[in-house]
This record gives sequence, structure tokens and C-alpha cells, in this order.
Amino acid sequence: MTDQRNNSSQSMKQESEKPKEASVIQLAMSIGTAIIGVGLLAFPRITVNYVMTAAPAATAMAVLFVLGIGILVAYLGSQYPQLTMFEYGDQLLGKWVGCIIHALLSFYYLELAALATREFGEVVVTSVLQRTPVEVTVLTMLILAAIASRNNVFVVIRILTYYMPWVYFPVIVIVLLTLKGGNELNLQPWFHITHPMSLLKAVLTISALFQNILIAGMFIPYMIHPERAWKGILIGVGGAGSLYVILMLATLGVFGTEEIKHILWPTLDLAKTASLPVFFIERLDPIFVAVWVTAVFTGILSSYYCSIRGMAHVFQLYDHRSMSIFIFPVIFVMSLLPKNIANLYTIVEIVGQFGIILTMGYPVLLVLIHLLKKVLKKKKVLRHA
Amino acid sequence: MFLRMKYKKRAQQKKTLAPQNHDENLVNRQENRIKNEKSGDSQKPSEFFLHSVFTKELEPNLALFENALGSNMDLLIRRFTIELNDDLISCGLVHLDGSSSKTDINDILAALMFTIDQSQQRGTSAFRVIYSQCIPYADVAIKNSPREAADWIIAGNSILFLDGYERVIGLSTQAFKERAVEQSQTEQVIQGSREAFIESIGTNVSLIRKRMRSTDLKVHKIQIGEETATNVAFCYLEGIANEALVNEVKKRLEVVKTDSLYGSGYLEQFIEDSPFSPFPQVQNTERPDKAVASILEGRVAILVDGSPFCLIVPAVFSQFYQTTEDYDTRFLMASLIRAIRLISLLFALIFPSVYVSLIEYNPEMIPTKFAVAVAGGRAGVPFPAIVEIFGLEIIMEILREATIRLPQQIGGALSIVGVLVIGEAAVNAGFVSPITVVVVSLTTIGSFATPAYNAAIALRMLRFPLMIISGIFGLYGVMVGIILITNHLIKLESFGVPYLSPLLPGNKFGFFDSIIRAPVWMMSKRPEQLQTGKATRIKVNQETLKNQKGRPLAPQYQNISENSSTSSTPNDESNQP
Repeated sequence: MTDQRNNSSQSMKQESEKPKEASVIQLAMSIGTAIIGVGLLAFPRITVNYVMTAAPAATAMAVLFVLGIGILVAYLGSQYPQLTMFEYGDQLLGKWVGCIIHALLSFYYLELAALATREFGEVVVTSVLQRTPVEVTVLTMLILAAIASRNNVFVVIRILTYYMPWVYFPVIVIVLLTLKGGNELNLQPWFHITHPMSLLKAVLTISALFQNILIAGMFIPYMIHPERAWKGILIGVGGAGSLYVILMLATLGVFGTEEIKHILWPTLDLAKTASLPVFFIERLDPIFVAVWVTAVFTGILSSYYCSIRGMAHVFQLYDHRSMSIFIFPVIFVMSLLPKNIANLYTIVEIVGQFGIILTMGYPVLLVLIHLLKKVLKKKKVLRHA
Repeated sequence: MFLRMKYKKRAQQKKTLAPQNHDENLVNRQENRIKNEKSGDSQKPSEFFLHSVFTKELEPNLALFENALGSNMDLLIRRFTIELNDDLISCGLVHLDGSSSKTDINDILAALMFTIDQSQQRGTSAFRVIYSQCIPYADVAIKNSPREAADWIIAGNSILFLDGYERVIGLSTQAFKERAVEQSQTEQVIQGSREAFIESIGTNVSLIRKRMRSTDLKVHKIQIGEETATNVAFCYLEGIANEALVNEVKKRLEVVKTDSLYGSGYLEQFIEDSPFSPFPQVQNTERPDKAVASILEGRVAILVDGSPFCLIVPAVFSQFYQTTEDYDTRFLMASLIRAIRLISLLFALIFPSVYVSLIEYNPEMIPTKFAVAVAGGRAGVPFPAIVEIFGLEIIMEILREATIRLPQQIGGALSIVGVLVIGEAAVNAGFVSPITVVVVSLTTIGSFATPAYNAAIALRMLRFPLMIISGIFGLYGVMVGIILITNHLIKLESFGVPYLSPLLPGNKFGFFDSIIRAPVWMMSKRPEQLQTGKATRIKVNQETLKNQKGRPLAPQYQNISENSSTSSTPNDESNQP
């Protein structure tokens, strides 16, 4: 029933009424969950490689940058409270340009989902299921995401909301358990820039972890109060951002710059150092890997959902559900393209740094055009007067 | 005796409308029956009644029923004559033996045959006089067509035929045999009401009415089942239950077109939202107090004649681990008990699969000493852990199913034999390891702690696929399985209400009554997800409650100081001497 309601979004009518169900808290929690993905495991290494001990500072800067983008998305949402991001994108950019950019965005999100899946597949194969081929783990994650993405938008919001504690709680537990192993000296100097270009690259790489924020553009028109979306986005991005900063501080504090560079997944190794002295279970990292399946799943689901909604919009499909099956083999092949882990991370970094221009530039572009149109309209009115 | 004599004497003198010759009458009847037997094969009684009409004569009318239903052994036709205003009227009373109350029928016959000729009642027509003045019976109805009359008879009621009228009088003498209201068998509580629903819908409605004397309680009847014509009633509180919900329930019940309706579980399958889901989306209960509480929350209760289970819609997941007793217990204990039920639910679902993945994939997580013990226990076992536990779980399910079917006296013995003896023997034989037996027993006990049988069965069955996937992928697989199940639960809806509400989407007052059970005075709003007409249900807040509680027996020295300090508050006035 609700599916049919959502499909009204595909019709180009401006007046199409969308059902309003989501609350601000739901938006905050779902964005907070959507942003956290598999990038969590490797980002301390990548950042430290660029900026050494300034990594926490770079992370904080990236969070601020993304918060700004988030505000832009919220502003657009409040200006077009009935339309999803793709719909007002079409209005602002015109049909043809909009079509091209949306197709690019959809494809890009598909690539993001594929890379995240592959990355986690490698994590599982390396750390817990050594004899399992990576194709199998990739396939299971993709099936999970594909099934979940077939739901309507409210169910997707509910799914993302539900997994929020599952994603955040284990990270906080790890950090608390490993605090005693940390060394403050590892973090100093706080702000030491070797090269401005590397700082920029670090900030871009970390911002790339937040790319699922555009899913907010899909959720805002279904909110009860679209004009209050900025609160939800700020809380969501702020929560996820502080989680990244805390994790960055913890890994850097425990391992130090030189050690971190040689650890493939510093967060996972942080979990390995965690132990409960008086407890039945001796090692905790298999549990964390298991619980992080939820974080990875929500990240992949968000990208997958953005992608198929975008494609359904480009192809003017009535229903995004069919798209989910249609692109399933495509994404499977895409996720198997990188040859090995080293190759995978090269691709991830390149894709992240260049894709950021697309995903973060898109809302900026839309806001600029929107303001321009507004000014022109005002002038027109003035001239007539 | 005297009356009867009088009647006999006069009978000869009066002119009557009924045929006089009794022999002739008999012949007529036999002819009718023969006619029926010839034509009866071609037409079913239900179709026969559809096309027939009443005539003014008594005998043809009775013959209608004798023809169509006379072959049934329990159909009784009583012919008699009554005297009214110096006229003799031939009458016939048709009813089903056993299904109708003999005492009631005798009372009516006595009223008609003995008292009527003494009475001085006058009216426009004999029919009206009899209907409105001479039948001392509460529930009567006029039936105009044979079809209506036949339905009435089949339901265990009786029909009074009067000579000379095309209408008949229906008397509600229905008295199907029913058992007494007994203690609930499937949902036992320690504190709280003991009554349970029975198989009669009338009694069930009265059990609800007994607990809720509100004029707003509506009980609507619908008949479902072309052959069984089962009465189905749905009850709700007008003004509190959402109107759209009530309409939807009515719509879903009306579209059920079936031959037969066996019971409430049969009906449930027609009206549930997702038939392919393992989780029940309709709650069923045997307890009237639970039904009343649900109606008061703004839900709709559906009663089915012939079934002691009441359906409650919409249902959410949290309802399946709540009992009415929770609200009778103090909140802290109730919350803890609820937490224990939740843990046991989780146990029943994932414990064996976690065990398999720890043993097979992540033995490094187990403390070394214990790991050695486990390995020692499993030393002679010929199977991998997954096969071992899967087999044992299936044996456990077989035992459970077998004990349900057995008489109670043997059942207890068998479960002891099954669990203790077989388990012990299997361990001794080196077939399974002792720890596996422990895990399986814990799982089974966990699944018994769930109050709702149908929800427990869903989780019980889902643990098998989870075990298989954990055998293939270890903890990762367990997590994938849990995510699949959780996503399904999140997606599920019952009458538009998300299945995991009030937790997801969350609201404050819903949270008070899901995982924990907050103090009753705190749950001042009805569940928000039901979108009730009147949200507030408790009007007093904690502050006023506190202020109203005086301290009449406090020691004197405290009382003095308190009088001086709090005498200004109006609430304390009553407590002062």
C-alpha cells in the first residue's frame, strides 16, 4: 500500500502529496547510522598516512565541512518540502542536465556500495572466515542489502533507525575498554601539517566517509516537519562525526603514527587489544566483527538505496523495487573488480577523493542555482512593479 | 386437569379454521412426505427454502419444513390447538431436539394452551394478540419467509406456526450445550482473574460486558461461512478505537467468503496482513481480562462462535511477551520479569547457533580451561557440532510434540524418560557431548518462558535456519541471519501499525509499556500507534497522588511539626483531626 504512495515521487508532478510519517529523531538516527560504514575500519591508517598526528584535527575539519553540506541539504529540503532531491534537482538543472548528473550520482553510489561490500568481504575473509572465498561473503552482504532496499522509504528509515545503537554502542565499548592502553604523547603535536595539499587530501578522504548524507534528500519530503530537518541532519552528522573523531583519537593514542601505518584495519586491531579481565569471553574482536555487520549493512543499504532511487528516477520507473534486482549482478561484478586488498584501497581512495566533488558539490550547485533563480525572480517582480 | 377437560368439551362445539378430520390430516401428511421424497433428491433444502413462500394454511406451511428437514432425526413438530376469543386456532411448533431448551418450550406451550383461553385479551388479529400479549417470553421475532424461519430453526430456536397467517413467530429457545466457564489452560497466571472464554459467543460477550460496563462498547455481529453460518462478533469502544481501524476490520471480515469457519485461528489466516510471515500478526487470547484491556487500549477484539480464543487486532511484537499479570504486579518486579522473558526469547532463537559458531569457528573466544573441557567432552563424538546440535534439537521438538498429544498422566513420564534417560544415555554412549545437551535444554526451557504460544513457535522454528547458517558462516552468519529476521520484523505491519512499535517508530508512552513496564500511573496515555480517539486514560498525576496520601498514623511528634508546616495545603485537611 505504502509502496504505491511512494511511487508518486516518480511522477513528475510537483503537487504530488507525499505521506508524512518520519520524525526529526528518526531522521537524525537514520542519518547517523547511514554515514557509519565499513570505512570505519581503515580510515585511521589512511588519514595518518597523509597528516600524521594532525589526523584527529583533520577529522574534525572534515566533520565541520560535512555539517556545512548537511545544512545546505536541509535548506534545499525546506525550500522544496514536497520533493525528493532528484525531483527538485530536475527542476533546478533542467531535465537533460539533471538526467546526466543523476545518472552519474546513481552510478557513483552503486560503485560506493560495491566497494564497501568488497572491503567488508575482505575483512571477514581475513579476520574470521579464512577458508571462505571472498565472493561468498560479498554475495551474502549484497543479498542482505538488496532485499532490504526493496522496501518503501519508511521501512528503510525504520531499519536505519533501528540499527543506530548496534552501530554506536560497540565502538564506544571498544574505546572505553582500550583507554588504559592509550598514550597521550602519541597524539602530540596536535596540529602538525607536513604539507597543505596532504591536509586537503586527508580532509577529502574523511569527508568521503560521509557521502551517504545525501540520503537525507530522499527522506526529508517524507518528514512530518521538513522545515525542522536541519536539526536532524546536524544531530546525525554530529553524532557520526564525533564517533569518527573519538575512534581516531583512540587508535592514534593506542598505536601511535608509526605503528598505525602498518596496520591494515586499525579499528579492528583496537578491538583485538580490548579485553575484559573478569569475563567468560577471552577475546572480543569476533563479537565486534559480528556486530559491525550491522554497521556495514546499513552503510551498503544507504548507498544501494540512493543508487536505485536515482536510477528509478532517471528511467522514470514507477517502482524502485524492480531496479534492485536489475542492478544486482552489475554491483556484484563491480565489487569483484579490484584485484586484491592493496588495489582495492587505491581505488577506494581515488574514488573517494574525486567522488566527493560529485556528492558534496551537487548540493552546493543546487543551492547556488536556487538562490540565483530566487534573485532573478525578485528582480522580475521589481521590474514589473 | 380441569382445564384440559374443559378444552376437550368445547372443542367439539366450536367451529375451527383447522381441518377437522384427523385421519384426513394424517393422509395429507403422508402424501406430503412422499411428494418430498420424490422431489427431495433434486433440490437441496437450502435451495428449496429459497424458492418457497408461506401460505395462509397451517398444514402446507408445516409440510414445507417436514419435507425439507423432516429426514433429520432431531426435527420435532408439535401440533396443538389453542383457543382465543372463542375461536380455535391450530398451531404448530417446530424445533430441533437437543439444541433448544425443553423447559422454555414447555413454558411457552403452557402459556398458549392453558392460560390463553382464560385471558380476556382483545386485539385486531389473533396473530397480534398472541405475538404481543400471550407469549411470556423475552426474545421473539416475526419471520416472513421460509428461508428466515429455516435459518432460525437450524440455529436451535423454535418457530410457532399459526393457522391462517402467512407469518410465523420465532422463539429464541436456543440452548446449545456448553461447558462452564473454567480456568484458562494456555495462559495461566498466579495473580489475576482465573476466568477464560468458552465456546459460546454469547457467554464470551457477557464475560467482556461483565468487566466493562460502558455504553460505548459496541458488539457487532457478522455471519461467516455459507454452511456453518458461524457467528463472528467484533467488539470495540466507540470514541476510543480508531474509526478507520474498525472499518478496516469490518471490511476484512466481510470479504471472507468460505464454506466453513472452524475457529478463530482459521479466521485469523483470512484477515492477517502478511500470510507468509512466520510471525503472528494477530494476537489470540483465552482471557477475557486481556481482551478487555486490549479493547480499552483502542484495539478491536474479534470473537468467533465455537472457539474459546478471541482475536485481537492490531497486534505488535511486544504484546507477545506481555501478560495481564504484568499489570497486577508491582512495576519493578513486572519489568524484571519482562526482561527475563525477553532474554529467554533471545535464548530460544540464537543460543544453539552461537554455540555452534563458538565451537566451530571461534574457539579462541572461550577461556582456555573451559575450551579444554569442551574439547574433552566432544572427544568421542563422531559428528561436527552443527550436526550434533541440529539432531538433538529435532529430537527435542519431537519429544515436545509427542508430550502434547499424550494424556497428561503419561506425558509427564515420557518427558522425563525422553529428556533425562535419552540424554544421559546418549552422552554415555558418546553420541553427543554433555555441553550440547545443556545448550539444547536451555534453549527449550527458554522457548517455554514466552507467554504467547504462536510467537514462541515462530522463534523456535526460525532457530533451525539460523543454526544452519551459523554452521556455514559462524558468528558472521548468525549476524546475517539476525539482520534478515530483524529487517523482516521492521517491515511487518499489522493493520498499518508497524510491528516493532512502540519502539520503532518510538514514542515515550509506548516505551513505558514495551521493554519495561512503567508504574501504571505513569502510563497516562493510550498507545500512540493505535491513534485512538481519546489519548488520555489516567487523569491523575503522581504529584496529586502523593499529596493525597496522608499520614494518619504517624507518630505524634512528627504530626505536630507537619501540621504546622503543611496545614495550608488543602489536600491535608481531611487527615487532620
